[in-house]
Amino acid sequence: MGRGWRLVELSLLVYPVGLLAVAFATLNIVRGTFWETSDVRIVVLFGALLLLLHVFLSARLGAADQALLPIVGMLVALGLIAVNRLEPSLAPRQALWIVLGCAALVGTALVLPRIDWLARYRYTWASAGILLLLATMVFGVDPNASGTRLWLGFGGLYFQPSEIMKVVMVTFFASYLAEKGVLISHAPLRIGRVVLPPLPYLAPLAAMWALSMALLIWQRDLGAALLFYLVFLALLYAGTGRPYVGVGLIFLIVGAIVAYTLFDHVQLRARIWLDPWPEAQEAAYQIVQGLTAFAAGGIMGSGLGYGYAEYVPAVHTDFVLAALGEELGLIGTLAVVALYLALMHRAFRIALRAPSTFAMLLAAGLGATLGLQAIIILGGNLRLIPITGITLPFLSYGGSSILVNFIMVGLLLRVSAESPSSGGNRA
Amino acid sequence: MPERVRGVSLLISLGFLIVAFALGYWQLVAAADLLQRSTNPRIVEEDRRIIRGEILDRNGEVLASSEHVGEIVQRNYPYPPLAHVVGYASTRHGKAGLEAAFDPILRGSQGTDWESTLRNALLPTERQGSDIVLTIDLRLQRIADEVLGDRSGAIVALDVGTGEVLALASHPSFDPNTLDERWEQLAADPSRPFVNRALDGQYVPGSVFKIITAGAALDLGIAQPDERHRHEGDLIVEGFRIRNTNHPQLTELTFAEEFAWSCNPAFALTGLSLGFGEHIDFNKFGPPQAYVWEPRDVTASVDRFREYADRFGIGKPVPFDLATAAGRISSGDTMTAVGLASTAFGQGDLQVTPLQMALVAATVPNGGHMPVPYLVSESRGPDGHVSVRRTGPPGRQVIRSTTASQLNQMMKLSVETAYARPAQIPGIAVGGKTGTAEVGQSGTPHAWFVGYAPADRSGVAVAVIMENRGSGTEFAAPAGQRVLEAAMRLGY
Repeated sequence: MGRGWRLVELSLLVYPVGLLAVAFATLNIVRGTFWETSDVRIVVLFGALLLLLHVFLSARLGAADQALLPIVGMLVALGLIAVNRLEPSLAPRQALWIVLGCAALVGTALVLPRIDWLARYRYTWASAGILLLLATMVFGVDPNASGTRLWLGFGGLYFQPSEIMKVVMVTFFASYLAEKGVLISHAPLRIGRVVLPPLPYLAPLAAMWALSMALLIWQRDLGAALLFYLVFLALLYAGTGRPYVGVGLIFLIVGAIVAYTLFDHVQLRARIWLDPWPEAQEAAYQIVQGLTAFAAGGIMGSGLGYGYAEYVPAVHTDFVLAALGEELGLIGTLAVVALYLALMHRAFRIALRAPSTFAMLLAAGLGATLGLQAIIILGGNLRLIPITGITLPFLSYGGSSILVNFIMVGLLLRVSAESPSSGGNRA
Repeated sequence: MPERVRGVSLLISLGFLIVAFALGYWQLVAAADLLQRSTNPRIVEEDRRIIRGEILDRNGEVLASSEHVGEIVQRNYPYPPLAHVVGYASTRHGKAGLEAAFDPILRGSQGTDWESTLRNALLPTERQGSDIVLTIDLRLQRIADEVLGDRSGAIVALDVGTGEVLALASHPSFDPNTLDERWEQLAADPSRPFVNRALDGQYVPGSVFKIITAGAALDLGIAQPDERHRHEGDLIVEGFRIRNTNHPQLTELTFAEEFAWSCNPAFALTGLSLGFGEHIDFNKFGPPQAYVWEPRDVTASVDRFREYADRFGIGKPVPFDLATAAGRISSGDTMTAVGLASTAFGQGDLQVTPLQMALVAATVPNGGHMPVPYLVSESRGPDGHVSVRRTGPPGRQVIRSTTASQLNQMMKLSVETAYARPAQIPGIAVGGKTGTAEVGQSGTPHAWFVGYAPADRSGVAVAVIMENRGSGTEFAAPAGQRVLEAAMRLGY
């Protein structure tokens, strides 16, 4: 906490701003336009925003991690480049969400008196989150005709409550496990010779998890359901050390089979995942076009603005990496993967130096959420798993996702700033 | 607890590693296969924006050109009858002909020099392909198309010494300018207008094949052009009667006259005797009864015969700028004495393409050296300078030059005095051979003519096939004469 020069951060921030400026210049050359004023505005705004965040962090959280902001800056810059390339009319909107996201980051870091204060009100957060999901079920709208009503509208701006649920769930699990984790791991329930988890202690956890899963499956948000479940397993393992992970994976498989038999759309997703080629012009059009876009990129890519990623449906949200893969090549996509890996490792580094068990589990949970979310959507893009409609953190077009991801980074910065061993200015 | 946090971190890192490998798989390993699939819209998209190079005849006449119609580029073909050679580049139906074979050059993706390759790589939207110049002479091509008319058939004319293809006609043809509108109709047409009959049409050669049999016999020294033989009866080979009907006015002929008057018994006997290493005993022919061939083992003759057919390129595709059919000759193991006898005069289990026969004809005045044909002589970068000039690849010696000059005399004799008389051009030495190829019991025979003028290395060779038209002398020889005469007039 407190002031401190953050020179590492400042020097690293040159890269995202430079990347954005060069990429926007390239797009203007390719399109034959001479510096669209809105493009210039976005670059200047982006630079100013990062500088402001840097100044704020130097003034208030001098000891906070210095690599997080530059990594996030790179991803956000790539997201702006992608949206400007694919849906230029949406670029100012994306920029607006980034501004709101930065404000939320500052807000998160400022408002909290102490990080452990979050743990104290865990049932409040959980209830609010569940209420939001319930509200979506009743009042939900579908502003961009995606086929699912996952949004709540407030005067022209739409928000996806399942996004904020990510933070709520991680906070709830982290605080509960920090308090009861030891009990859970040391007080197994024995019935005869069978050792079972201590059900009374696990009950609130399971209830919270089951409720949100039910809501998500009800809303057909399978990607978010999978993400929650994996994060839940990761935190349960980290918090208790009990091999419930094995049991959890069996549940995952059973759940997948149940979902497959119950829902037509799950069967369709599985079918086009296993063999997309017979339906390449129909149901599997998106995945086949996505893979073809990756293939078209090769190692070096076609160059920014020279690809044909427009052929991939929903390319700026679900398949944004396919567009980057075509135009920036394998070099570009591996760089993006490296950025996510770096972001996640930073989060776990913060977790390992955290001031309390709660803070550690919180940071680890946030890191796991960001990492797993990227893996789930990229795995879907690359036909490793069936495709689910979740966003690529910071990169996909989508307001609520950006906003919540910035809040998560705000929490990570805050945890790192409270770290006893953060050692001042060192990154 | 920190160990377990590290464990979770490692596990997720492993997930990223798998993602990285999947990226490598789709962007490198599987990329080529994926891009070839019809589901890849890039091929069509790029073609729409590329200004393809022009296709020009040897004198610069435009055969295919591109022009902008708004955003997209439209391809025009000013001389539609040449569709089989020039081909088409349709976004809906793909590419064919030279448009397909020289696609990388016409698209400019395979630059003609490093400078244009680099320019195309760096500025793909401004891509301009290279032009290609053909060996075709549009003036001669027009004559060939006119001569064929609306009958099914093909004409190939090429330079004897260099292998440059001067005209290549195949009828019926189609108009590549209206391909998209008429595709269904053309594809269903029973006359098969998409088949390039000059290259892919496989026909029974009939008597034009006697050039090869005669070439083999002269080359092996078992026949001499001036040897006289009596022919008054038929030949019977293992019960199969070969009728002596082609020269009722002559009973005693030299080998050269047997060729010129297309004597089937003589050529059946020549084929059967190829492997015996001795002069053919024709003198057993005698009136009035038929000569019965005394059965002998013909394995060696079949081998000789097939060896020469192979040297003349029968039964294998001609290496060419466009795909060509192989033709067919029955294999040595299955060829009986009857089979050999009938194949030797051009019937039997035997099929050739018009291009193959044009090359056989060209071999004769060219001193026994068969040229390798080609259609594209140079490519020119977008800025107009010639970047790649091709000359004919070296051909190969098929028969001795002495054999070739004997054969040349025999083909000239055919034009001067016998069946190929309609091919005469006043003041110019012409060599030729007609054929009337039987196609089953009831069908009207195919009319064939192969020949050349003038009868030396500087000449032009031609092959004409007219499907189900009748006698070669009556229909194909006059057609060949018109093409050869036009070629002479044009200075070839």
